[in-house]
Amino acid sequence: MKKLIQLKINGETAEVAVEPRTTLLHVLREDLGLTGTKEGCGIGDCGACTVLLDGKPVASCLTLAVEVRDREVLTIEGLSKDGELHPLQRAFIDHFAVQCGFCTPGMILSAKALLDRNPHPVEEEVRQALSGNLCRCTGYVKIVEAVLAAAEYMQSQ
Amino acid sequence: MIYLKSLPTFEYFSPQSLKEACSFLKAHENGAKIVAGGTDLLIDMKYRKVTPRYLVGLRTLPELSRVTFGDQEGLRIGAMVTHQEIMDGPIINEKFKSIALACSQVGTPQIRNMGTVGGNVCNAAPSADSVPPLMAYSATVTIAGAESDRVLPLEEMFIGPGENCLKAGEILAEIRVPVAPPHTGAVYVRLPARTGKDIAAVGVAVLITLDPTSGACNDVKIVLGAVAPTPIRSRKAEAALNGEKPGEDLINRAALLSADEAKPISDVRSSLDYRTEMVRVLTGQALNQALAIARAS
Amino acid sequence: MKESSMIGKNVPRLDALEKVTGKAKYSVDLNLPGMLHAKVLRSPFPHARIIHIDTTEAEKATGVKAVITGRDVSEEKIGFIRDRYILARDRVRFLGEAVAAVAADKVEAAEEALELIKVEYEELPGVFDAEEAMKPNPPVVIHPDLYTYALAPNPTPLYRFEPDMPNVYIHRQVLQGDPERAFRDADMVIENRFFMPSAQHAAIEPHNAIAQPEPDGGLTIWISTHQLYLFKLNLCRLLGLPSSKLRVVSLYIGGAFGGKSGLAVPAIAGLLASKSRRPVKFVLNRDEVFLDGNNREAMTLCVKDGIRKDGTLLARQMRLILDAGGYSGTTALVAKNAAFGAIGTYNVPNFKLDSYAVATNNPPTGPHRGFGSTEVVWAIESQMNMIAEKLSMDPMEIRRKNLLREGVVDSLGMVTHSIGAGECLDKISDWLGTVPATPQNEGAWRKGRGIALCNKYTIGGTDSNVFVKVHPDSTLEVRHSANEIGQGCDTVLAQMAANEFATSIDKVKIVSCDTAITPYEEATVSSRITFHAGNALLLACKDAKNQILQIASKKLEAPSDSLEIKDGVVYCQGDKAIRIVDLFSPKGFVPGGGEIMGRGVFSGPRENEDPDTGQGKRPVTYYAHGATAVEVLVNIETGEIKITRIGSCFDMGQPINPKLCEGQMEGGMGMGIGGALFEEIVFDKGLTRNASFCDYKIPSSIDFPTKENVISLIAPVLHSEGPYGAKGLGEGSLLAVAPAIAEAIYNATGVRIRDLPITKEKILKGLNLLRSSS
Ligand SMILES: Cc1cc2nc3c(=O)[nH]c(=O)nc-3n(C[C@H](O)[C@H](O)[C@H](O)COP(=O)(O)OP(=O)(O)OC[C@H]3O[C@@H](n4cnc5c(N)ncnc54)[C@H](O)[C@@H]3O)c2cc1C
Ligand code: FES
Ligand code: FES
Repeated sequence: MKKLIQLKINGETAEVAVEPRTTLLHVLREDLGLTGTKEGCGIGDCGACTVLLDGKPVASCLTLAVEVRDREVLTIEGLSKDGELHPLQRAFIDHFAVQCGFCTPGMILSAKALLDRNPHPVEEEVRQALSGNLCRCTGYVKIVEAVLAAAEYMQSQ
Repeated sequence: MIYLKSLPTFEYFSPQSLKEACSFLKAHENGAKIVAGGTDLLIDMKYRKVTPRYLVGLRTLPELSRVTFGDQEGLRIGAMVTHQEIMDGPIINEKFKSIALACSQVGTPQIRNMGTVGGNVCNAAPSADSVPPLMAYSATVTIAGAESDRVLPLEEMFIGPGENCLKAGEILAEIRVPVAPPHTGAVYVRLPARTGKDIAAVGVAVLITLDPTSGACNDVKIVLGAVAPTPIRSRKAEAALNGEKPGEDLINRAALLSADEAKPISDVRSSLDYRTEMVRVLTGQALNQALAIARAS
Repeated sequence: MKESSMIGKNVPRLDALEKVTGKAKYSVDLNLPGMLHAKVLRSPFPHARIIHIDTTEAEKATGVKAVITGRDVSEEKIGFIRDRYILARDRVRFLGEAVAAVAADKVEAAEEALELIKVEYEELPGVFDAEEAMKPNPPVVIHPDLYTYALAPNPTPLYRFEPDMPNVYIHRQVLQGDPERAFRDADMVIENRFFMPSAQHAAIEPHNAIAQPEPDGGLTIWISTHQLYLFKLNLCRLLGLPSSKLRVVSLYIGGAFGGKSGLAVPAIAGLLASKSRRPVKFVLNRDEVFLDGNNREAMTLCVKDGIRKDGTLLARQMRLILDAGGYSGTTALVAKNAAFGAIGTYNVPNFKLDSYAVATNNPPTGPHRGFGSTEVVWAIESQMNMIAEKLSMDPMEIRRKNLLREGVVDSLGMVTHSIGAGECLDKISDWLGTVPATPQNEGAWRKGRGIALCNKYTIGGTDSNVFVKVHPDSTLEVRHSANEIGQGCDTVLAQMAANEFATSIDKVKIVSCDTAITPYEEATVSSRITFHAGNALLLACKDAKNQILQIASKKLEAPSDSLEIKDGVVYCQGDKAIRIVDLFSPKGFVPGGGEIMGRGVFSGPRENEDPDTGQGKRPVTYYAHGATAVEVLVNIETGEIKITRIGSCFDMGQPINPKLCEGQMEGGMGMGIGGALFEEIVFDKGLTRNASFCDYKIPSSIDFPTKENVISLIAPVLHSEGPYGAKGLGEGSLLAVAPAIAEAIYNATGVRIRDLPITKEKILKGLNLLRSSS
């Protein structure tokens, strides 16, 4: 049976009718058209579906929409404010940290959660924080560089 | 071949109290399941290994998400506390480091933010990382029932791979960890099966309490993960060490005994032989590390 | 050549902004009105006869709009050898083969309907080991009618069937010189057997397609593929549509690595869309990608070398056995092309190769980054190290000694041109430092270093077309059909266009991969786009510039060869000039009511090869060369391996965008680490046992050394036919990683691994063996 629930997504309240089995990923992609969040495996292994739930990275493919009621969801679409890119987004562009781009939204959100908690991470911490986001294209080198550069930039601001 | 599918249909129930949750579970016997972080259960459901008619969510019960500590009653961890909360918990890091360390090695950041210690225990995977250090600390579990609650040693939770001892209507509410005596060292050593982020091929938790004057072992717990149908105590190795002053030979002997007690399987991650050998190596490492901590404290 | 302001510059990727903001669209992101979702039912048996399929219940199920089985698919088949129906008809030949498909209004409804389809099978015995399958009297013949099947169009059938080996799809041979005699003359003969397991590309975006019926009875299909036009050609055939009625579109591709090359997904979506008259989306689940995602085949390689005492290679003989699986896929072609990788680095005067693509009841296989070269490079580079050891020679030295050099005719008869292998070797060994003769100990950890070389051929005889339309605002619209799979082809082509018009990158707009508006491109494969599409682009630019100059010459009343285009303005010697926009005045069109549209067609060179010897003057277009260096720590108690340093140096000809080249090298090293240490699809009597990222592990961020311990170097040797001297890179970066790691491990521990992946357990076994034998 479908139930109407309210979700706070990227700062806005959205009302969606969901079945208990509907995942947050499904709501985002199919109901709200927020297709920046990707599905790579459906079972928590790849991190492509990562969103921030109350500021923490979670796998939206394993998150029931009914359990997200009244919690804050941040997706990649909500990261830039008023057309202004988040420093992480800027750094991913500048450091060539993007290739096919399929892992990128999840990767950036995991990085954001890290920098929110720990604004001065060392490389090892960055690598740990991104370890739930598989990237098959980049070998992670430029991604790690981008995150460290964004941290430095944000510090200088 | 079991194929991945979308989640099957179910009804979602959000109880107002633990008792209500127990009664609901009891009323629906095998048809209802608790969903905590969902990182095991929802995957099993996507593979249709289980298809419960009802899922009972525990998010509305804040008492299950608490961590408290008292010198007398020790550490109390609510079943819904996540691995991330445990690894970040100041008290746990200070006084129960091996538990924090084990939880920090579970899966990925996403999984640690979602997965709970209660789910880790109840899912009863032989490789569950939080379990060996908790067992080494002689943790007990508080189980809430529709009629009455009971308290068990954590060890007794496990029946087989994926099988716990909970009866219909029962919920794991809390895990209690007693404070270890002074001169105790506790560690968890884990070998990921393949990549750095893999499930453990072998995990070994050791807790040693030394007699400060004689330097002999007053109490030794050795718990092996991922190498038997459930996490197991390595009792022969413990017995070999208890009351003895541990030197290199003894540690090697104990490690061999542990390897002997392990009953691993071969799967796509690791073979039986390799796991057995790693029990020996990791037990040796864990004993040495725990002794060093115990001696230094 | 003109002053280049754009070539060799790190121009930011054109697609990066869309990708970091989540706006970039992949076909899987499309949701069309009234769209249905497809799911397929897969065979539970690796080999069985289909007696009967009953779909009546499924057709009646709620939400179901169309059900199809083998009866609904055309006679046309897929594969290099046309051996497979889109949906199985009378036989299934691997566990996981699609036998029926459903389109329903929801994914869930489609999944549920599958359970209502009843299939009666008669199980047949299977064969799961390629060497057993290729015996003259195999336990089972998988394709009894093999020799009657049609073949994919191919100019030179450089292979043959082996009637005495009924499960051999093809046998490819190369013969150069007299290897037997050379072995007799050699001071030393060394022979080894290597293995490389089946692997998944593991692009993070799963395979998917969306088909939409059009009013004219045709279809538009959006596909995640890297073979836009090849798909169009084949889908026309499979769906019975004339070319005019099928439009194929690709948006961004979420990784490919060769894997997005199977036709079943778009064909099933197309058939269901035609039948239901609704748009149909078909997305594979990750486990289905493992079963039918064109995995790399498992290959067994026997290498026998004859060497002189001074390290000179006299003869090499190779026998390759490819477990192609239940259908030939493109693995029959891999068996053929593996010969290119085998001869691309070293000068081997006497050479023999026998390569067999063998049918088994394992899942079918296909192209994977390297297309045969990963496997042969693994074996040959390992072998070179073993030879060096036997001769007590420096492994670098033996390589240098035997390298092909400019102008030397290689073992396939081609004159070597543009070979930077030696430079790559020098640069990367300088970076790595000396390889310690004795292992260094840190507790239970042993340190070791290793280097390997590689080459990657690019196939011959392929074509590219590019259009360049010049807008009145002087924007260059580059229309091409190379798939942006992450490699950065849009950016590279834009740089070239900007360079040709002496303008800035923001004056280039890319329109790509829509067969309705963008021109023919053979396929985004074989590291061929920079070279082929690049050359076509240069021709298109030339054509468009000529058109501009013609008009400008009239307007300026100056001969066109006195004119030059820069920043949207046509300049004449002296001070006359005209803006491009003014060429379009007054009507908004250039005189005569036209537009400026340049067309470039580039046909890659090819000369047919001799079917008996397998040789030819130009069997491949060019070779990229490279070297990878690795430092490892190996724990001798647990067998754990830490890659502490890794670097590559490549000769890709002129790098158009060095940062993109670095990206390819780093990505290749990442994939290479996975292949060397973790990745193996495990089969149990045809059953895939690890069809998930939980059970099939690819490297994560923590499996890579820290950034200051990773390097990507460039040693370009220009190619005379390449655009600005460029060649290609995408695949090569993966190839030398596994042999370099294996060598580093050997250097650290004395354990020589011949079978990938190098697991902890294999290290320990090797160490135990060493202990017991010493
Ligand atoms: C990618 C990935 C990596 C992982 N890596 C690891 C790893 O390295 N180490 C490891 O140990 N685990 C790992 N896991 C498994 C999983 O994350 C953990 O076991 C986690 O702790 C499960 O907790 P949960 O809250 O998600 O449980 P759920 O999935 O919600 O529940 C699991 C089971 O326990 C039952 N249950 C949950 N809570 C209770 C309760 N309070 N009372 C009674 N029954 C209850 C549920 O009904 C269900 O049967 C991994 C999982 C994934 C997806
Ligand atoms: S899709 Fe959710 S983790 Fe892969
Ligand atoms: S950029 Fe392709 S998966 Fe990361």
